[in-house]
Amino acid sequence: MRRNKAKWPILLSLILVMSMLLTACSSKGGSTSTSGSGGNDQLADNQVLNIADSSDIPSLNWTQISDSTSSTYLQYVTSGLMRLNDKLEPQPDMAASMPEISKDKKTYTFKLRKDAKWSDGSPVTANDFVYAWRKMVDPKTASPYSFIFASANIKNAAKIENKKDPLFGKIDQLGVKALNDHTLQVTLDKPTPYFLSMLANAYFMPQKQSFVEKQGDKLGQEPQNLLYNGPFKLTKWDHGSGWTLEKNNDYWDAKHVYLKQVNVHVIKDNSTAVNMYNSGKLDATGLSSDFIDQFKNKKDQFHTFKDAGVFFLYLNQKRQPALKNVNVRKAINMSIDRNQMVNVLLKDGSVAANYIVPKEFAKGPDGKDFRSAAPNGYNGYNPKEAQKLWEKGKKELGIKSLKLELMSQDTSTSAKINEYIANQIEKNLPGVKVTVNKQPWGNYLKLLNSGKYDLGNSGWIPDYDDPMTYLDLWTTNNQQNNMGFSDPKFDKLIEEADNLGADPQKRWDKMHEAEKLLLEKDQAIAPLFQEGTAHAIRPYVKGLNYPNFGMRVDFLHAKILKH
Amino acid sequence: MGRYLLQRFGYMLVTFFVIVALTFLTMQLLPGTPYRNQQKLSPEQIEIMNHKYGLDKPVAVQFVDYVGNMLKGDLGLSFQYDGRPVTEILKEKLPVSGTLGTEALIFGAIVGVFLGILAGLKHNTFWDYGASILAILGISIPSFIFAGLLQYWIAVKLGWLPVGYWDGPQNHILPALSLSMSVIATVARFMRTEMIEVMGSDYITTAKAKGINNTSIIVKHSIRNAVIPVITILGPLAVNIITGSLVIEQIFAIPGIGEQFVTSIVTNDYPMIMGTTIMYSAMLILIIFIVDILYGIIDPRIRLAGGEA
Repeated sequence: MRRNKAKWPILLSLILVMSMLLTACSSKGGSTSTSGSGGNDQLADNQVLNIADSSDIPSLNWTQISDSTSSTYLQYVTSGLMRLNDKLEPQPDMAASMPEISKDKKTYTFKLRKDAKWSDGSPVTANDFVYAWRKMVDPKTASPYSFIFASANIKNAAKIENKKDPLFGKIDQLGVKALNDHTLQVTLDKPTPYFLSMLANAYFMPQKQSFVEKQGDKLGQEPQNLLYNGPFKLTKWDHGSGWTLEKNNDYWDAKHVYLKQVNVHVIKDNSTAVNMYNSGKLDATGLSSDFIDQFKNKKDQFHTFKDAGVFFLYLNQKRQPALKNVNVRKAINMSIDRNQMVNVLLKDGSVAANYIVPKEFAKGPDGKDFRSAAPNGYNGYNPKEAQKLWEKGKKELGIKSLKLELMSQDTSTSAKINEYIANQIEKNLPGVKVTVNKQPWGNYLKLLNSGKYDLGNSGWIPDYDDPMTYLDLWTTNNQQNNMGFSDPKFDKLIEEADNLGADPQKRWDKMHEAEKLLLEKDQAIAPLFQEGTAHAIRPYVKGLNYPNFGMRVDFLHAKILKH
Repeated sequence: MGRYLLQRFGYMLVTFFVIVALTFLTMQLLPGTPYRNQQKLSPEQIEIMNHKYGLDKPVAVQFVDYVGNMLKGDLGLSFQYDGRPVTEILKEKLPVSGTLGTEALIFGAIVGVFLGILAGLKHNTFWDYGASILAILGISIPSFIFAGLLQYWIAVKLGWLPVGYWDGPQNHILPALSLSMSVIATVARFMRTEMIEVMGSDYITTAKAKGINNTSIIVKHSIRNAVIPVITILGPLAVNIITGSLVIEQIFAIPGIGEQFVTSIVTNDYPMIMGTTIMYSAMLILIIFIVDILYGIIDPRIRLAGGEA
C-alpha cells in the first residue's frame, strides 16, 4: 500500500525524455513571476493570450488522462471542490465554503454552490462527484490514476482496487456520499493533512453521468464531447496544432477572470517556439538552456521558476557490493560539484540540491517551508572530505579501485549531465572508473526497475503538496526503492509520520527527522539538483505564472496590459 | 503491360504483409509498457490495464486479431492519445505530411531538372559550375540546417513569412523549400550527367547531321531520354522526403505524421507504431509501384520485357 502513496510522482527523467513536455513548472506565487500589477496599468481592449505548449492534449476524458497537459487544461474547463490559489493553497471552487471537518479529521462535509452550472444549463450536484469518483476507482475503468484515491486515503479506495480484497470492484463502498443535491460527504481511512489540496486535481473533478454515458468512447475527444463548469470553455481543438479556450461567463468567479481567449499552440521544438515569440506570434515561451544567454539580459522578459522536480542518483547496493559501504556512498555524493552543473550545464534556473524534498514546495503547520529547517540539505560537495571517506571505504572493503556503471537516458541533456557526474567522481576519487550507459527511455526504465545499474540518474515530481511524496519512496519495500536500501529506523519514522495525520506538527517533525536520517547518516541516494524552468514573457502580460505543482501554466487571473 | 502490372502488384502485397508481420513481432521486443505513468503503477494495476487492452493475450492471438481488424479498416486505439482511434489520427495528420511532401517533391524535381539541363547544355561553363556547387551543397547539407537558416533569416529577421505552424499557404513555403533542397540537388546532378551523355550520343550526332534544329534536338530527343533516370530516382527521393519531414515538421511545428512515428516508438504506443508503419510502408510501396509503371510508360523496352517474360 505504501507504494500507492506515490501519488503522481512521475519519474522526473520523463521530463528529460520529453524535454519541454513538463518544463512548464515553477515557483509559488512567484517571486519572479509577472504578478507586479503596476498601479494604474490599463487593460488592453483585446484580452487574448497566445502561448505554446510542447505537448498536445491527448484526451480530456478524466479517467483516461495521465499527463500534465491534459490535467492542466481539464482543470481550466472543469472545476472541482477546491482550486489552488497562487500560493498553492486550496480555496473553495464548486464548494461554497471550506468544508466542515469532523473531530477525528476523517469526515469532510462540503456544501456545494447552488448557482454552479454545467454548460448545458443543468446544476452541478453532489451526485456528479459521487459518480465521477466511483468511476475513477472502478477496476473496470482501468484508469491509470485510480490509485490517487488510495493516496488520498479516501475510505475503501485501496480495497476497491485490490484484487485480493473482498471489496474489490465494489465502488458503492467508496467513502463518498451525496447527503442531498448540494451536500457531499467524504470519509477518509485516516486523517490526511494534504487531502484538500488534492481535490483541485483533475482526477477529482465532477462529471455528469447522463452526459458521460451518452458520449461513450467519444468523451473528451472534441470540444462538443465535454461539459464545462470551469472558468474557461474549450471552443476549438485542432489535434496536433493547438486549442482555444474562451472565458466561461457562467463561472461563479468570472469577474476575476480577465482573459477572454487563450490560444495554445503545440510547438514541440523549443527553437521554433522562441522564433515564434520573437516574431510576435506568442506572448510567452519556455526557454531551454540553449536560449538562456540570449534572454537573460532582457530583464523585463526573462523569468525563472523553481520546479518541484528533484533529480538524484540511485546508489544500487543490490548489484554493487561496494555501495553497501556508507563511506563509499558518502564519498560519491561529496565528489560532485552541483553548482557547476546547474550554472554551467543547465543554466535554466535549476538549483543545486543536497536534499530530496524541494524548496518552496510544501509549507508546514507553522507556515514555514519544509526546507527552512535545513535550507542547504545534507552532506554537500566537499572533495577533500570525499577523498578521506573514499580512502576509509577502500580500507574497510579491502579494494584498490572501483568500476561503476552510471545509467543514463540517451537524450542530450541527460547525457551531458551524466558525463559531467562521471567526470567529477573520477576526478575527485582516484581509482574510481565510471562508465555512462546511455539508453533510450523504455530500456532505461526497464534496466532501472530491474536494478541493472550501479548509479542511476533519476528524478521525481510530486502530485500532492506534501513532503511524504518524496520520502516514502525509500522505505524498504517501496516499488521505487529498487536499489536494496533498507533502514528499519527510517521505515519506522515514515510509518509514524503517516499515522500522525491528526497531529500535523508532530508529523512534520518526523518527516524532517526522516529526511535527515536518509541523507545525512544513511546517504541512501545522492541528490543532484532541483529543476528550474526559464520563460520569456512579454512585459505587457501580468499574472502569468508557472506553478511548481498542480498546473503546467497558470493564467487564471492573468491580464494583458495596453501596449 | 497487364501482366507486368499484376506481377508488380503481387510483389507489393507480399512486401506489405511481410512488413506488417515483422513490425508486429519486433514491436513485442520493446521494453516497457504503453502506459505513460508506468513507473508508479503497481504490477496489479498493470495487469488490470493489460487485460483491458488485450495485451495479456498471446502474441499470435494479438497478431491475428490485429490483422483481422486491419482488414476491416480498424487500426486500434492510440495509447498516447488516451483512446482516440489511430485511423482518425492518421486521417488528420496524413494529408498535412502528404501535401508538404508532394509540394517539396514537385518543386524540387522541376527546379532540379531545369538546373540539370542548364548545367548539361552549358557544360564546363560558369552555369555548369554554379549548378554543380549548388548540387553539392544541397546533397551534403541536411534539410534541417536549411530549415533553421530559412526560419531565422526569412521569418524572424525579415518577417516575410511565418515562423511555423500550418494555417495557410504561406506556411507551406519555408518547410517545402527546406525539404526540396536535396531533391533539387540530386535531380540536378542526375539530369546534368544524363544530358551530357545523351548530347554526346550517336543519335544526337545523326540528328544534327540531318539538319534538325537545335531546339528540337534538345526538347524532343535529349530531354526526353535524359529524364528517364530522373524518374527512377524520384522513388528514393520521396523516401528521403518522408524521413526528412520527421525533423522538418518538428522545426516548423507542423502537425504531420512524421513526429508521431518517433513518439509512438518511444512511448510504446503499439497501435500507433503499427498504424504509422503501415501508412509509411504503404506509401513507399505505392511510390515504387508508380515509378515502376512510369518507367514502363516512358521506356517501352521495360514494358515489353515485362510482358514477354
